Amino acid sequence: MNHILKTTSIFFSVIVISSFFYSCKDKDKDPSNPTPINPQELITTVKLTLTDASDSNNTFTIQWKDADGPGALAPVIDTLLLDTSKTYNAVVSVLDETKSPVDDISTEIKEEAESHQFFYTLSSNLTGRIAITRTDIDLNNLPVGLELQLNTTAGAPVQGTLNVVLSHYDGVPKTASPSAESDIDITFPVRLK
Amino acid sequence: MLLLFLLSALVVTAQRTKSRFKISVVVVDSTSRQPLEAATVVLKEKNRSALTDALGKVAFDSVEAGYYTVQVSYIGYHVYERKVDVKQNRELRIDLCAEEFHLHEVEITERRAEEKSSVTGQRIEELNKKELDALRGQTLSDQLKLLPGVTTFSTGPSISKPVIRGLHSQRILTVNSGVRQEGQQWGGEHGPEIDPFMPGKVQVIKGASSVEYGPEAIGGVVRIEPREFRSAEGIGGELMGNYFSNNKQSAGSLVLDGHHHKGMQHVSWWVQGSLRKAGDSRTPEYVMSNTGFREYDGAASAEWRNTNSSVQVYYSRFATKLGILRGSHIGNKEDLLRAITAEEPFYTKPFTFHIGNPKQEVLHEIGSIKLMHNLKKIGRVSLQLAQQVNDRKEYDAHYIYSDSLRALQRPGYELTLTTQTAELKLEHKRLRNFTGKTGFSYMNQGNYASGERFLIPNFIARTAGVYVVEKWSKSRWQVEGGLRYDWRWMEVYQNINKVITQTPHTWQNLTVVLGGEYHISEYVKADMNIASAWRPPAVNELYSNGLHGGTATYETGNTNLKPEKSWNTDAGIQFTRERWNLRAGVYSNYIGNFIYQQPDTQVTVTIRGSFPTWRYTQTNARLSGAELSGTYAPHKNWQLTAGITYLYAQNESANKPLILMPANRGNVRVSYLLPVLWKRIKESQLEWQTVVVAKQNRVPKGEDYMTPPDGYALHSLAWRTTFLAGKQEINFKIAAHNILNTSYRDYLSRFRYYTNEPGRNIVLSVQIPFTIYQPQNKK
Repeated sequence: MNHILKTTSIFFSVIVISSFFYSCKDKDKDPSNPTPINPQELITTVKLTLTDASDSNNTFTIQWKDADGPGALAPVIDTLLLDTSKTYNAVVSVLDETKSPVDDISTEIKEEAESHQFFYTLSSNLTGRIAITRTDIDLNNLPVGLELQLNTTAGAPVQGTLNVVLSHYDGVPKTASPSAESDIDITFPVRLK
Repeated sequence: MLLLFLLSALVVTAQRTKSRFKISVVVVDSTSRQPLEAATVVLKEKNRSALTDALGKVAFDSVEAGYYTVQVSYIGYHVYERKVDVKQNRELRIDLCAEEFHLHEVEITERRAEEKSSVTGQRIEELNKKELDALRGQTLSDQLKLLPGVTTFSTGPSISKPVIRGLHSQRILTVNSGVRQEGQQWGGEHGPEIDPFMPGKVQVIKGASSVEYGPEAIGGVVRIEPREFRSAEGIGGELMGNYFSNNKQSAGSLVLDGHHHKGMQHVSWWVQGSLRKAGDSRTPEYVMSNTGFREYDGAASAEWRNTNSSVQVYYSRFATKLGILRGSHIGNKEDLLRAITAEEPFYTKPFTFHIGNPKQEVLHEIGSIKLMHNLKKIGRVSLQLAQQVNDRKEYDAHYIYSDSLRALQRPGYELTLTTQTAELKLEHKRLRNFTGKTGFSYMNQGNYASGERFLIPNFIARTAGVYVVEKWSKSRWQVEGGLRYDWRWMEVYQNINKVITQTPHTWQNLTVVLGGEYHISEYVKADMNIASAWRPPAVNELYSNGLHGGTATYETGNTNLKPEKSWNTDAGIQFTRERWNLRAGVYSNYIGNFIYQQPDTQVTVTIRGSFPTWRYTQTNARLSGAELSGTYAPHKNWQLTAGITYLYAQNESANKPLILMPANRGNVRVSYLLPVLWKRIKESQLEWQTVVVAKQNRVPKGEDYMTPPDGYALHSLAWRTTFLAGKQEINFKIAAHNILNTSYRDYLSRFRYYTNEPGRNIVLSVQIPFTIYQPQNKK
């Protein structure tokens, strides 16, 4: 009868609708099969390669490396050892060593030199002993800082720090001062022999 | 003190009696003619309500002459409503029809007795359709924040979450059309996915409500009810439009609804579509760059019913794309300290509608079906099945270093949460002095994470609960108690170096509630409620591990966290009489194992700089407070509303204040019904409102980079009118919020470090109800 018809139609609509609920699950997004989180870009390493201006065979590299990115394992930080009364030419390379082959982010920074700038700041006990000059410039004649020169003066041995900041100017004009966004902010211990 | 003053003023006004009458009501069953005890009788215009006694009787004393609506409701019966012209003492006999019987006469509204949404003695605040209409276009939280005890936690003008008595996010449950809304609600910058044009009614249940709503309802519940179905035969609808000057927001919504019936079979439906588009907001001093949003929402519902059964289907889709203040995404702690001292955000550009990074794109879809059936001698049984999908993509201004990759617009992370819920409920008929319900609920959830960086892991979770709530009522007393058991299983899946690990968790808990209400006299009612609630730790509290953009902190989860368990005590007294409606309430919410973030002594060193480490940890906390609210109508054209909210939140184990708790506040509203000078104007009203927020002085020392901002006062003025263009009714409103263009920052804004809050905002809104088709002769 009419009553039975009604009951069956309700029953079927429930079946249809509930099967719809369970069928529209996204097969590619199975929670029990997670994809590894794989950042497109991760800076793991900042390398400074220094060359003695008076002796091109005297070349050495120090690095600040956080192999697994932020958190978990602590970064490994080298000490910058410098001789007195010397001039060093230095090149900075910024790497993502989680990728294979290793991703050289410094080439991107060079391409986008108009929106990036390195700043080098020495601890106060070193400022009288080491002079740092950034030697490369962008199209607007502002320093980039991927290349730099360090001049040390004579004097007693001293220990201090060097802070390296990479400012990113995203949508704001690049000026002589740091931006409000730091892509890199690391500190090396420094020893002047 | 204030209460004392109000009460003494009351005595004075009560003496100025004019001619007053008495309305006596007897409620009986329409077939058996037996009196119905404890039926709720409401005198709508006077906001007075009372329960019938054992003889089915109730009376309202000293009612002024006028035209009133009397509404009677009782479980298992149709709601009865009629107009009464009071010129002398009136005696009404009301024959209430049981739901399974009867074709109804014209006077009876075709609605069912509403489902009860809380346990006796629990504090509920409600915004009805009319009140919501006055606030359309604003976010849901902004609509709610004028209710006593409710504040907001905001991330700029586009995101704000309701805060109930100091608690928010994963401690508040949002129930959308009867379905637990499941998104990534743990995130402070994840706003509720609700179309502000959609609700026909919003209820805020304050305090622990786990027995009825399950885990997570430690702080309370926000219940969103869609619009009511059209009750008269025909097709019509509603058109709503808004414009906001501050962010040049335009918003609009169109609703079509219909009702058809043949004999005892009724079919009702409505469909709704809404759009919102806004550009950058501005403070009195500068533009808040990248704070615009776009929202495209749609919903539809249909119901078929006869006298005994009903089937209801509901679907809603919420889609938003919103910008996050560009100046709030900074690199590290040094950047944050610079931002705090800066005059304005570092990235401040001229106004635009463009939305750049950082931004969020969120899609939330809900589909549900609800079946109801009246079982003759037993009661009403209902089953609701629902599925919802929440997809959230967040785009960073950070974590991607090169401008060219940023331009590719890949989300920093994407989370897809799929949830199925089932809710079976039986509300039994009155048995002697008892009414009540029992139910079973089940939830199945899967979360899938992808993107550039880790935020929370994948998981599958299953939650099941059973409960029973019984109410005993007799003459002046109502006592209600309930019990619930919940079980949750969650398994977390992580892929670390291509090895998949599975970590299961299981939690279970028992919750109870006991509440009572006593009508001391016709005008005075006292109530009390003691309830427990619980919440298993959320996945972010267990597993999060990473840098947090806007706050420059490194957050670390803790997989050993235990569930939070709370005991909430609530007591209040309410006085209602013609011109007066006063309420005073106090509460104390003790939360054992309260999960919060504690700054660690060790900083996390990253290539981006060093960050303070915040670890999720547990303590015992107590949140106590008081709420006073009242309305007074000294004259039929004047109404005065005021409220005060006070909160004292303490970390009891560490004996220090809890961080990020809303400051104490008060508000005053004066409205004046303007004399009608033109016959085309049906009604027009002027309203002034002032909100005063104190400075939050109770903060733990040394855990924040910035001291809480100063208190502030905001004023607004609104003019509302309803006029007739031919036969067409048009509601129009113009309002100025923050009319003095005050500069301020709010302690519960995540942007307090970076920017002032928006300045003056002029709002225009129009609402046009319309009828497309209506049969001329009824029946």
